[in-house]
Amino acid sequence: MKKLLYMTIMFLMASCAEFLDERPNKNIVVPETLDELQALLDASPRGMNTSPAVHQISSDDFVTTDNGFAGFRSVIEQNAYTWNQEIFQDSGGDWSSPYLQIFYANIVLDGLDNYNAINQEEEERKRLIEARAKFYRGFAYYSLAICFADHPDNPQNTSIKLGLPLKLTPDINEVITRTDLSQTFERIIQDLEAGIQDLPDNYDFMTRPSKRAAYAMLSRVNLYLKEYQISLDYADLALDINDDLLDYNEVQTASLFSFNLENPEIIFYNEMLTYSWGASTLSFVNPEIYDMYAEDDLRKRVFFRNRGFGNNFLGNYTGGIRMFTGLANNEIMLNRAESLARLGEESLAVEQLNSLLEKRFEQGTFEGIDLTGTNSVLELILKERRKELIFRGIRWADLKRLNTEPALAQTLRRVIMGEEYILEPNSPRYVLPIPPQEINQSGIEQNLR
Amino acid sequence: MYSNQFIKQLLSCILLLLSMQQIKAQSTYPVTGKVSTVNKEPIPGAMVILKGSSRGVVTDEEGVFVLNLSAGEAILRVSYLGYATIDQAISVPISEPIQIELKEEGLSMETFEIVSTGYEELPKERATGSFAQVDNELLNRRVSTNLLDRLEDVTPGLVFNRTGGGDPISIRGRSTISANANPLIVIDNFPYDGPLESINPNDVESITVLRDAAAASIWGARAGNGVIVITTKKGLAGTKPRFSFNTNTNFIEAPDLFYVPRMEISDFIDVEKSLFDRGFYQSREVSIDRQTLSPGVELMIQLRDGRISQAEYEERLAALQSFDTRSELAMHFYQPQINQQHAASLSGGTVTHQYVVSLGYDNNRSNIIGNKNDRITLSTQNTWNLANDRLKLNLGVYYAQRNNIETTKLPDLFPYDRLADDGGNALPVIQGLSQRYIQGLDNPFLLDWTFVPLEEIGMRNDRRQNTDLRANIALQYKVSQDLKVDVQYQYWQNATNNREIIPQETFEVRDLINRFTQMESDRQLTRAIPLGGIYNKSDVFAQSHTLRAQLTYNKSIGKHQVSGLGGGELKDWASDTDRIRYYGYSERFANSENVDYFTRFRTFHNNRLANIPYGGGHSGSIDRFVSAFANASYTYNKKYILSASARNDASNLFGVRANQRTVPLWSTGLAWILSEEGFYNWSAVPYLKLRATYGFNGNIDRTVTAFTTASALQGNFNPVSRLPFAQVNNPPNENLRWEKIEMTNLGLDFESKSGRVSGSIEYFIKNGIDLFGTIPMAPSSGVSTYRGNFASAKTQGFDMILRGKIIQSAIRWDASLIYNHVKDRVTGYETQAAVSSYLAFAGGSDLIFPLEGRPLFSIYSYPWGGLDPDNGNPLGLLNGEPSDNYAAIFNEATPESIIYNGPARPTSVGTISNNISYKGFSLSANITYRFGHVFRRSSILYNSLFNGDLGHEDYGNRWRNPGDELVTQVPSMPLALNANRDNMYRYSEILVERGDHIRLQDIRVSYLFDDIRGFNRLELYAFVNNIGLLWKHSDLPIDPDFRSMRPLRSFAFGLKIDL
Repeated sequence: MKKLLYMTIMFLMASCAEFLDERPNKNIVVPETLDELQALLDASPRGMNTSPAVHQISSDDFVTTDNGFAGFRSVIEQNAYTWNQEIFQDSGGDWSSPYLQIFYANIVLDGLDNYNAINQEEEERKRLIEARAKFYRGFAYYSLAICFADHPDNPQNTSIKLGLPLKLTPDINEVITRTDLSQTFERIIQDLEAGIQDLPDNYDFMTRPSKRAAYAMLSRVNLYLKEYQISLDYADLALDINDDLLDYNEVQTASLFSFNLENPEIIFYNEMLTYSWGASTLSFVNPEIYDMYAEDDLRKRVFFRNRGFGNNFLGNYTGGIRMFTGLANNEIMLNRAESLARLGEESLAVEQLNSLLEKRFEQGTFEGIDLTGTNSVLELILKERRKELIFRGIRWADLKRLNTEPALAQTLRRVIMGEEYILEPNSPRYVLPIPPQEINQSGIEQNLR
Repeated sequence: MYSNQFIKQLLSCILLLLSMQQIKAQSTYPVTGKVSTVNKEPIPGAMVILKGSSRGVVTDEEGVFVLNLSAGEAILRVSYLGYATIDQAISVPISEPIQIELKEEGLSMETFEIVSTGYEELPKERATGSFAQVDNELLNRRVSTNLLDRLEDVTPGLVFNRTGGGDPISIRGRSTISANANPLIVIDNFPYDGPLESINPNDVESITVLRDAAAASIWGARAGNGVIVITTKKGLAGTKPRFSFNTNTNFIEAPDLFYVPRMEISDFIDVEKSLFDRGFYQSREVSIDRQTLSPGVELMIQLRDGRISQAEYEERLAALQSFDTRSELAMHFYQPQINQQHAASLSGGTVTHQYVVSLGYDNNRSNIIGNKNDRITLSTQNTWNLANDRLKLNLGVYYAQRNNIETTKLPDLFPYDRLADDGGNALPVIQGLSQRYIQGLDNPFLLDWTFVPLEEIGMRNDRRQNTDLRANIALQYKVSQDLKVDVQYQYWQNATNNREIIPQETFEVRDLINRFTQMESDRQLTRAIPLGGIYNKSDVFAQSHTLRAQLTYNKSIGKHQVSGLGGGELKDWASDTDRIRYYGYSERFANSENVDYFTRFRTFHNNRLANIPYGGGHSGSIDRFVSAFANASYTYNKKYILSASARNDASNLFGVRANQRTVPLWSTGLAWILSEEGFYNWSAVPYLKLRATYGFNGNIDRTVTAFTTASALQGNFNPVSRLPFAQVNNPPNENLRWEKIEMTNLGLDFESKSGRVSGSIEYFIKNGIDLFGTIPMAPSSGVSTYRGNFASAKTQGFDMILRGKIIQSAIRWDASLIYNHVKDRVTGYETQAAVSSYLAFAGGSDLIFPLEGRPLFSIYSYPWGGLDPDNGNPLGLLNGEPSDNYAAIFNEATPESIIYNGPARPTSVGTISNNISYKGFSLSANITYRFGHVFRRSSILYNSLFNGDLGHEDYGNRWRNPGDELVTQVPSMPLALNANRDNMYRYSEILVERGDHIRLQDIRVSYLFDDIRGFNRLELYAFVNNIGLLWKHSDLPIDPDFRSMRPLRSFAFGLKIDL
């Protein structure tokens, strides 16, 4: 009856503002508080820790059979595998997923702008969330850049290169155009560097960025840009905080997937978008790489399982079927070794390599890397990089970078249904086409390939 | 007609009660009399008032009244709607009953129908808007558990949709593109929030459908899709207690699993064999997920691996070819459905108190063995006339409980599984994991991992219960002769309790327990999911309060008649849902066990990381509305009627900026009773009325908001970090508005001399403005689609109803014709979707892809280039030339270049009804027709065939050898999966067919005994539904409107008694 009376009074007064302010759905909020904004960044299940996969399909880490090719669930996979001119039919997660991360990060940054911290503690938390949001945005732009933009040094293409549309606000109606490639990389580095001082040294949850992750990511980006000294500096900073390695002698190979998520090497968690090829038992490691491992190299057992028709890769640092594309100490050590070698510090480079490989060989069998028969320390390091960082979503960027140096350039070949496909070094097909939905809706320029 | 009489009686007694004064105490004499027509037919419910006072009574069913009057001269004023009022002078005391005869007024009964808007009841004659009525007789013609079924084919303007889109019915076509498309349902003056299944059709007196702006705009922002006003039965003043009973049993045949023509099982196994030989199953065979392969493929593996001999292989394969899962399911799982319905009611009333109590019980046996549902309804309604009849109090309580019990779940099987051997013993089938893996296991710790479908019949215990309670109280105070105040309040609650107990004995539970069996480091096995059943429980509790206050004014001065109403309404609706799952549940001991939802376990069969499925969840919604409304009409000289109506709605719709929360909507109308004019002298048509209305109704979409909104999700859904997180639901839309539907209606009502032919014809135009549309966005914006007020649409058409009394003698033959014509066109939709979306749409998908200039639901296709004479590939056209470069064809195609075949929904729908009666015997039949639509027929799709679906029978007509292209259009079988090749054929013009058809929908036969002692009425009836097609345009064996299962024929028998 009280409610009735209340309603009647409300009614008569026609002052219904409060009555109508009730949220219509209890599960839905307008994200405003710091907790709510942080919760948006923690949305790994919605793709905050997901990277593209289509370049991995195009790279030379894996091969498949005609049946495996026919069994690909999506035409995108078939197109990417044969370096077809067109890849996407309408939309593509490889393009939209990083942009979703950018959208979330921009919502958070916009929300922080409108948030008034009430005390010092809140002010610090606000800065931390801002640093994290920028890290995710920088990470996402880099994932896009290695797929959808050319390498800045591609000698076949000397014109001003197209970068990415850079979205820096959550306004979905904002008109965008493609920027210069240099602007794109400036933005990536700026976003990654911006909040370093506000990030904690180590992660609290591996899906969240830390100072170590920002350094590691900057090492990765600068290596790609061939800024070896900067890459080295950032690798040192990252490894100064933590340079733990997992001894592969301790890895159980009895279970289907070799690794657990609890892995001291992991700096920042990221996984690759799943396509059907990743779960197919007919997706095999490129035999060229498989043959490169020495007999007492534990990786041969830890990474692969023979399926009769070939070797499947089961060594994901995610501990499951998804491929790990995050940052881990082994990658940073290899960045460091390569940078050192390129800067002429060959003995330091070998030292770094040895400290990594010691944990990869059967206990007591590794006696330092054998330099005989190799042309250069660099070549050796690149070979080890190939063996160590397989199926990590890194190879495509490496191919693009190394192809800019004639001595290291590689031609890729594949045969499917009797037809041979060839990908020349520095080919425009190293730049993936943007999904048609984007071209149709925003009218941005398509990549020519 | 019964309903007319009822409403007239009701109106009479309301008027009477309002005018009564306290009876003075003095010596009086009883005066009895009888009111009848000039044909001596008694008139029940007529008003008999002592002129000059407010004293009076209402005649009973025999037309008889008794009035106590004091001695002396008196004048009795006798009136009844539709009849001329007369004054009869008498002198009291009087020795004999007086006979009073009333003459019909110039207009027939038909035009005195009363229509209800939920806010007022008004004579149809005074209405300008478009109302369609379904009276009690028509409602009771059909036999059905649900009320909605009874409206089909008998309501002009109301069409049942048979193709996707999420709107089972629409009034004059769909008014929206993607917002709520369902009409507003109003029961006893209040919008009904509960499930329509809870309404017992036997409790309903009549239904009015509000079709245009003038009729519906009083409902404002919720009226965009039209309004269906349901009025329940009420007690009548001046009637003796009256008991009615209705019972019927409806037999519905079992589903016909062979209705869709499919390929031969032997052909299917041959396809498997050829795929096997090409290594198609290689990847699945060695899959780490232990994917299942069919029994045939498993045999082929055994032969290849030398585990069986060629002879054994052939023998077993031949056996497989003789099985058909459809026959097995029909034999073991399906049965005819039987629906039983019983309804009883008691009603009656005195001048001061009227009542009705009714009870209903429905008990339906499902067509799947072991499943059933029932419904109990209990309702009562009481009306009291108090305080010198200035105050009227109405109390109604309606309770319904529905139970749905499911103990059997249909298994998902391969096309040629066998469920029992010749001796009738249940057989296991391949399910979940591959046969080789299951058979290779030798681990006594694991639960039996085989699935025996027949053993699980009746094993589950899934009970869904829904209770619905509606209580309303209405007070009406008559301030003066002309002014009334109404206050009405309704409380409604609905509770759904779903309790699903899946015992450990079911494959589903055994499978899950086994999958989560853990291998410890010492090779010991443990169970992450405990033994016992799984209990899924979910509860939804919803309730609403609605309060309305309203002033009603009616005044006649000479030739002027003014009526109006105005008021306000408040509504508060809330719903909460809770879900939980228990593991290790024992029904016997009523206990369950904890499980670890956080650890990522290694699943036993493939060693992947997985969490135990968590069945918990909560959600809650609140809707609030504040509305003000007004409605007025002015009639001059019973000839010219002007009406106007307005409503303003405000709601808490999420994030709508405060100044955009409200939406004012209005309408106006004009009517002219041409036949009342002095110059009108067309004697063949003594009644002719013209109507015109214009106005706006609104519609709501709850899914869009003006702000960025996010949902909060629990860490359980975040497998890596376990952190709670938020996901963005909606990008901000600052320009959010409510949808508006602008409606124009022109109507003509007529009636020929003595009502031989009557009817109405209406023409309407609906313009949807600011309709919500989903547009694709550039993914770089962070969203791939976006909803906003981007669209507009135009719908126009006719509704027509013609009624004829063909023979009126001992044999009566009445006929009626309903014709609905609706044409719609999307007039504004900025963005075009991919061609593939237009093609794939209208096949039952709820995603809608409108194309500007076309009907919302349209069928498109690719031009067909025939079959390639060399290899039987389907050919499309590329630059006008036949080609099998599918990627290029699809790439070149634009929405303009593909073929538009026609609308997917019929443009002309209607019914021809005939009713023949002779004495107590009566026979009626409905013939329905639907014209103007097209559909895409199914055919063989090799991709789904290769993935294990039993293909279409067109497989038998496929291209096999050069030359076949001259006699068939069915492509040859490809060597590998090729989605483009399938799509070329599937979406080609040759598979589009016209849907036009005429069907004999139903027949009803009844016999009415009205001379049995002790009964007022006793009716026996039989009803046959879904009789069959009379004609269809297409040559296909299937029903154009029911392509996956034909409408199942049903036979009902029933008995109706009035005491």
